[in-house]
Amino acid sequence: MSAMPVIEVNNLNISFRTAAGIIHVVQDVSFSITRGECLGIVGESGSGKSVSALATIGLLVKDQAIVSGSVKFRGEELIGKPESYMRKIRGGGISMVFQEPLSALNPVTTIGEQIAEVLTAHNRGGWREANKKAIEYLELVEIAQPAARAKQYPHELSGGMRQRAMIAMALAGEPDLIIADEPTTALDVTIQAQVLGLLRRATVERGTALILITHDLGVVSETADRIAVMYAGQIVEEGPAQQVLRAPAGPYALDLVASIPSYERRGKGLSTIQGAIPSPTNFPSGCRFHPRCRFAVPACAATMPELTPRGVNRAVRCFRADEIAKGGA
Amino acid sequence: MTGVLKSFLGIRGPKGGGAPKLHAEAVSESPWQQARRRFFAARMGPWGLAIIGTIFLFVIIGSLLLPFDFYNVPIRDVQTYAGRPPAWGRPFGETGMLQLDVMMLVANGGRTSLLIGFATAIGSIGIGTFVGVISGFFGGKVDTLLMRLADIFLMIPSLFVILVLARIFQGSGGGGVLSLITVFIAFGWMGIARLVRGQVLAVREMEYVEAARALGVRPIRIALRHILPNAIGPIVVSFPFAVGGAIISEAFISYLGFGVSGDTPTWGNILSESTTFLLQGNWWWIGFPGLFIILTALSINMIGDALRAALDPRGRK
Amino acid sequence: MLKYALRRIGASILIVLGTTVLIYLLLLAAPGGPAQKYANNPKFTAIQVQAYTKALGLDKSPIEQYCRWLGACNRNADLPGSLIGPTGFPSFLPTQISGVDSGLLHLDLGYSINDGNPVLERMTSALLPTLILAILSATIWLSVAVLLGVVTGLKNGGLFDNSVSVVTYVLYSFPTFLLGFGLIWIFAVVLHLLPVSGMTDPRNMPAFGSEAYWALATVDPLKVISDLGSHLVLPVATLVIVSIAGDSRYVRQSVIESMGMEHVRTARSKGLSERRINMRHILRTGLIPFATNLGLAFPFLVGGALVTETIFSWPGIGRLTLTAIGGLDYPLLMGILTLGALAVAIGNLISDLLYAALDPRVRL
Repeated sequence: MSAMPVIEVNNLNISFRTAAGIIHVVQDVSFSITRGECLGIVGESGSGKSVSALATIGLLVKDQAIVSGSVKFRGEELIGKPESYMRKIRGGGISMVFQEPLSALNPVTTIGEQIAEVLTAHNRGGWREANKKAIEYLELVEIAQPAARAKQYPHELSGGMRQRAMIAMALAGEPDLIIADEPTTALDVTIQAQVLGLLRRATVERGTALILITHDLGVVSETADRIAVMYAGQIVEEGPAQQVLRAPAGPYALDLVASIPSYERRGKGLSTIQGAIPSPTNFPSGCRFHPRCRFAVPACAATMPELTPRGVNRAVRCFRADEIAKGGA
Repeated sequence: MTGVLKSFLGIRGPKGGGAPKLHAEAVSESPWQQARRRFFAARMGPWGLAIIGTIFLFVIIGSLLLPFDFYNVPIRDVQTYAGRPPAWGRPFGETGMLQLDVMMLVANGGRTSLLIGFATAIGSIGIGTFVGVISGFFGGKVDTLLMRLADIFLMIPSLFVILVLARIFQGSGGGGVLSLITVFIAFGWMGIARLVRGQVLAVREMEYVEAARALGVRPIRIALRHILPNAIGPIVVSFPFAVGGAIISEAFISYLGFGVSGDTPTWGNILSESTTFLLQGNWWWIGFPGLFIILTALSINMIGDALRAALDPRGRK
Repeated sequence: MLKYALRRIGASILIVLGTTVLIYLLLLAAPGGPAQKYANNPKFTAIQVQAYTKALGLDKSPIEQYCRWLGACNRNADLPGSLIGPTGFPSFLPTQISGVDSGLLHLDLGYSINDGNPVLERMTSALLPTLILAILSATIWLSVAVLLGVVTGLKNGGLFDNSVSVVTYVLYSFPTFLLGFGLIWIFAVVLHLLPVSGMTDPRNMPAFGSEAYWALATVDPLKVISDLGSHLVLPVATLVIVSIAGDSRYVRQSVIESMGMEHVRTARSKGLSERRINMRHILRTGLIPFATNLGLAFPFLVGGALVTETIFSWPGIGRLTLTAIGGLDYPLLMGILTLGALAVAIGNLISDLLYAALDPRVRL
């Protein structure tokens, strides 16, 4: 690591108390990011990526979620800090961009006010200055006629504009880290590219770190510097984005990349991963992917593989990574 | 203590918040089994059933053992005009004026009141469901016409009209019972019709209905086998509340003197002269019928809420 | 917004008129009625009954009768001639123009059959007691319900919430009239703390609304207020308790739903203060459904609570309604009903306007 990481997550474990007992949703997740870097967390729905993100800023409901491990932000351990401390971190140190802006935004408050309240909450001015600054942030996210837009309500804006407004809200606190949870999933493809580009530019300009959570490999390939692939609550592979996508080391990542439809393979069937993601109450023994894995051997069902380093800045959670690399099955 | 209270009322967990969704269980249960399990898990439902079951038993056995005879008012040896208080031979005490046994009145009155309650519920839910299904299923002009009709009925201040009609038809139709039931039903079907229509519309757009149609299944069959079973939720939940509402409405309409006439006792009309005697100290005349009315209403609400919790897939409190 | 309001007002007026037509037809079509009462009485000859019927105008066709009641037909002629007033202008126009001074459109509601007094007069003298009771009750019940609902909603799951929930659950199943009896029993009969019924103590106060009463109010306001106050406690409590139980549960549910909404999570992720989140994000959206309840409270103000007024012998519109129904006093009934329909229409209008004002998504 060349610089001190903005955030360092180590052995994050999350369980939920439900009517059916305690369910371990996320196991031993660790990652860290430096200034200006973009980490893409990729996985199917239910892999635990959103939960991990929410847990870092303490947004999981206290009585239902049990969070253990370490989340170090700016050198300070966040887990166990009181709510008053976390409130300062949220928005001001770490902010989030959510997936569906229409439901994530307050429907009865103007866009301008929703941005301004971030500023007033973090002592960056009274209401009048905050409202003025809000317009500046709207300009920053490339919304036309920002002064007029600031007085409008979320339902009066298009999907793309709403998401830009959310990004403006996230930037307003001048955070060191922005976590974007599926920020473009609800948008049209053409708008997706614009919004992603905007997000990346804004964070690079300010040196803000970015965690991009998505299930869409196309999104991460364009935007992320590094990728962590999650499956069934664990990180199963990580490394620089282009390397992981071009030469995946683990079976899951391999199959994921293979399932991307490509023009070269037109006319041939689409490749899929058989089976379904296991429910947290019913994880398979040993490696959680082994029932669906084409490289599985009996050892895979017996023991859980560890996330082992592989080359520079890469790691993979698989016993058979070497054989896979050699092209064997 | 809080825990017992909580589970008695079926209250679960604290603050709403940002917990993300978990995958559904792979345990296989038919929707009915699931609903039944939830109904009994909340404990409110079973208690409600127990209470109303007891009331039913009391009413049935009581009215058999202590029949109501309009023409034979027993003559008491002790002339206590205000009615004697509860004692061993008369657990619920006596009324004033005619000094009738309150327990006998409660048991017999319960018969008519419960009858009115259930008949009204069956009638209004039956008609409402019928209208709702037709309206939702056929749509177009039929739908508009029926919903306008419902709107008109909703606009009329129903309490007012019910009272007027009850007064007008008082005495006809079995002491006014039949006419009261009719009036209640006439002003009670609209809510269900709307609910059912909404459900039908929602289900109609679902893909499995489209699939059935594409396969050439006849409309009647689609309506009965696909749409109705899924629209049944609100119907079942509304039923207890309709019964409760009718019983309470009958009670105060008869108390006011507009409902069922005196030759057939109901929980309402046995209360009609009781206020003056309350002031003289006769609390049991109002107290026991009142207790029964309250317990009936309470148990019915409990059953209704438990049903709602059991049948609503989102499992709200 | 203004256009919407005007449109709604216009529609409301039509609806009110339509309702009056419906009820009028209903009343006329139903058996019984003013003439009937005397028809069965052997002391009245058939000729007298006929004369009575004619005098009340009950021998005309229903359409004509309604038209007269409405004031679009004048009483001196038959349709279609009666559509024009004595001055030559259409009857429905204001009195100065058409010369017609009877009917709803000319602010005349006829005469009460059982009483002989003008309907309007009977209604206005009953209105003040109802307004006193209703305004006081509505203010208390609405504010307490909101407060209780919000507190139990925001702190749901705690001891306070659970205890309150049990109590409200039992109370809202209580029929109002039984609660009234219960309160009378406890406070009036057993404890002798409060009066049983009425608006004034007949032993040492003049009747409510009489000249002597108002005179006394200016001379000794404290005595009048404390007398009125002590008579208000039980009826208000009866009206208020069940309504609070029901409405606070409704508010609580809305608040809890609102707390689970995504925008609240977003607000939290922005690090806003708990107070800001509660006020601006949870309550500002969660209390919108309650606006409909506010609109519904309005007809209650005017219609009076029938049952409560009867139990407590409160001389308001509710009790007047029951007297009218009991005596099948049609003109009085029509008058009260029209007022009721108007109140419902206004109440709905208030709800809709409030909703539109509070929720920008509902702008029209």
